[in-house]
Amino acid sequence: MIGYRRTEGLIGEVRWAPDEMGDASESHRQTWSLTMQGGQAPMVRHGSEYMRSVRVMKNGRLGMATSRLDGWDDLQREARDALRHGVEVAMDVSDILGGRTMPIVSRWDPDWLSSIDATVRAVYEGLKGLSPDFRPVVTVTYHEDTVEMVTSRNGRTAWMRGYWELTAGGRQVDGTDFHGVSGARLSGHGIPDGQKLLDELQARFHWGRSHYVIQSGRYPVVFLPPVAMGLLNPVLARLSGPALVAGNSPWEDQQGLPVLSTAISVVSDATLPEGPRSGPFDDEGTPTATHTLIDKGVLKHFILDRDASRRLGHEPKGMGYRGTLNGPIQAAPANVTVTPGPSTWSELLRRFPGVLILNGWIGGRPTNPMRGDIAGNASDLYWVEKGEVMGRVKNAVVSVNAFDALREQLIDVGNDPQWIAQGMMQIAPGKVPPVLIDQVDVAVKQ
Amino acid sequence: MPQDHAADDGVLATLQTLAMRDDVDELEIRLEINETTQIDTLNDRITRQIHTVDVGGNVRVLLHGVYGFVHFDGWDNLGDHVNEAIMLATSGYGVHSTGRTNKEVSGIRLIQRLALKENPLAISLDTKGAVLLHYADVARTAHPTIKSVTTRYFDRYRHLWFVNNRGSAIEQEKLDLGGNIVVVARDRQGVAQRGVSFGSSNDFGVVRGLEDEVHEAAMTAASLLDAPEIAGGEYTVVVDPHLAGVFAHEAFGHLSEADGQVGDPGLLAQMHLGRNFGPANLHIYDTGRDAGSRGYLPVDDEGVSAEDVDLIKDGVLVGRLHSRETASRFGETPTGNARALHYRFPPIVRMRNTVIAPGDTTFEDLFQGIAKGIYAKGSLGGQTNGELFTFLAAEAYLIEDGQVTRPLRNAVLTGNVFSTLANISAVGNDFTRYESGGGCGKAGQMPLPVSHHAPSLRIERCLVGGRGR
Ligand SMILES: [Zn+2]
Repeated sequence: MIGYRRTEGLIGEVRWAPDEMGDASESHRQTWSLTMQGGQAPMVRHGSEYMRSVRVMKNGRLGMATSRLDGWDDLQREARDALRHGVEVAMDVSDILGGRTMPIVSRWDPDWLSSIDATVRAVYEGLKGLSPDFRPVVTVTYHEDTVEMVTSRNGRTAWMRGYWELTAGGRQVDGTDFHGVSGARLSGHGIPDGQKLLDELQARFHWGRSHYVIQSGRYPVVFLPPVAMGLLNPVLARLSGPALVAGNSPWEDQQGLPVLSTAISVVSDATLPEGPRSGPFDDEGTPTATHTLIDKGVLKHFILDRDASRRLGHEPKGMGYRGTLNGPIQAAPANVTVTPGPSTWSELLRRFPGVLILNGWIGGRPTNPMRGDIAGNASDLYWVEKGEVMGRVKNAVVSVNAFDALREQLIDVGNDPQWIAQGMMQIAPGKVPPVLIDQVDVAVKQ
Repeated sequence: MPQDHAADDGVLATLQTLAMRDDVDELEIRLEINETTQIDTLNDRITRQIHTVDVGGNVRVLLHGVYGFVHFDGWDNLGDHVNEAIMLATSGYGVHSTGRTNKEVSGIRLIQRLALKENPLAISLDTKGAVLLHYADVARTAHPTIKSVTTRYFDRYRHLWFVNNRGSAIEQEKLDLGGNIVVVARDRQGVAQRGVSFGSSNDFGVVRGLEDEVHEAAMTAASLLDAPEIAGGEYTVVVDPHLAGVFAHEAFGHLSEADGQVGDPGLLAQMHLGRNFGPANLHIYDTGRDAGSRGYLPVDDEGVSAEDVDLIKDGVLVGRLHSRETASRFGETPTGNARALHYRFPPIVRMRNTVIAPGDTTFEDLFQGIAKGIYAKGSLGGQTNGELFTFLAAEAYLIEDGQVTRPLRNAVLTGNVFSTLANISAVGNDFTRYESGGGCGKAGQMPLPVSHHAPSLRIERCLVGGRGR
């Protein structure tokens, strides 16, 4: 009597009218996780989601429909209805040569729960040991998407993307001072190394045990990967195909020209084993390839989904991804990487007699990504003298323009990149090294 | 389709049978039908129009002090999901702390139906789209510098069934709607934007009659075009009721969530009840009983009835927001603040409608004696990490010698939560029930409908970020 269930139906039986193009996909997303957080009961989770999606293109318009339960006939009808208000498109669909088909079996093994348990507990206990008042939170998650897709060009394929994520951190509150550390690691095979992350968090916690006061002014700042990714977001916005098509990107006529420092190369890479988006196809069923977007500062490629590719007269590049399971396809890189530079961590810190390290800011995102102005309240900022971390700097607002920072102000790029999971404010997961930027505006409240 | 089962009280009975397990400490089953409409427009066209129905649920068990949580699409195989949740909790047996259970609340049986003014579900997609395009037209014709107008509208109807193994059985319907109209002005000097936002839990009528506001937003955006960048520094700041509400939410509300306090002796030393926390006439509370506001929540997602919670009364810290678990750990009473975005998330401690009660200072007097300050209106979003908060004002104006003189761009207000609360020097008497189309984000659950109602505030020594000179 209470029986809402998925309508039966095989994706291979979806048929298309002669005057339309289309694709249909069926995704199964599963996550398993364990979280331990100071003061609260641990939670072990398993989530399972199904999503069917149909896109129909006819007379230059796109109609889309998604549903967790509906059958293919209903979805196709809804997608055709949606053509009426559909956006204008110039795209075609993939013919998906050489794809494999279902079933792809989940890699999940229930025995993994005990390894997850052991890692979470070890990292948790390690963090707990930082100080009696430290409040840790540690999560290990295994994410897995399996997707099957067909197109009106007789394309048919299936793929899986699966990766592990370890996030850990916490804080100690002393008076009105919150001393927080956090970090994350991703992996393609097995749980990321908890001890390595723990070592890093412990080191950072100790840096911050003493306070250091600086004056307002302009400083060289090492942007660690989480904030370096924040600088990259406006770059990705200017490279975005739809922004280009709409005439909103100031870089529309800059292909082949230098737009960033020669030390910066940005790549869309779908081959990294630990990459959340690594796989043979993007979400449009287009075979993926590695594309250099920015090569030593020179703009090489824009970020193009099928629609933007066709509008601009290019072959599809395989950079169409859904931001969420039921969201529309957007032009987005696979995994975005910034090519590591030559400098070790200690070399970065010794480039100047005094340098700041920034690892987090509250509100550090641009109001207008095309302009790239970012002003954030530094939540994780340290002062370094002659390579030695002297202490944590508080009450500072760090303001930069992302484009100036990665062009004129860029001094050096570190050699140890880290993964940053895709967040609310960024269109792709990234693997980014620390970057050293000079003349950064820092306003300090005394 | 979703209405088919609206009157099917067999759902609760079936779930109760499944929940009768004595091999767990606690067991909850939630089922949900979630029907969402969303319309986006750009200038004179609809760019996206979506209608989706999600049907699914979750099971949460507590066993030996460990939660097992399973969420699923569809309503199939509920017994299997219960067994899996138990298996997951058992697998985490090694990490358990104590075999504690949560604060008992007596089981309640309740059927909560919608009480609507104008029902958005009875209005066609075409009509909704036409209303948005009409506002876009109003904005586009207001001033020649208006180059683009985007609008967004959503409504979400949720039908929820909840049972636990303590005898609660609740069926409730919820509605949430909101959206915004964002006007972008552009000329050779640059770009400026201004928006109008709306929200409600019971009335599509809030979407109507916004022409004057939209026109004013367009004119304001145009006037902000040649505004100089704000010069960073410390200012006395007057914030309007909208921004004051966001401030109450970001700067204080999140800190009052007990799941952020539990297990944190350092924070508890700061957040001890009885501590002085602001001027003597500061009164901040959180309520789920304000019908029509987006934070309306008569019963939370653990089956706890909404209590009004005083957080600061007469400038003194007097309360915090609880789930059953945090109430249990503090030995306090659950407050009805356990909320889940939808069935794919477990409930966590969240705000509902966070209110700063009106003070007695007139709007004009708020500006008195300010030699150089900032008047900040509206919000384009805010963030907090507990200690620090930041938000971007939608509009900012320079105050010189007590007078508002000229507009400024990019006012990022930021500061330390504790010192900023202590620096509130006046509470206005212009209390406003502002509802926006945004939402609150926490632990990946975003956007959760919340409200914040407030008067204008005057804050001394507030740090404002900016690159102007
Ligand atoms: Zn919030």
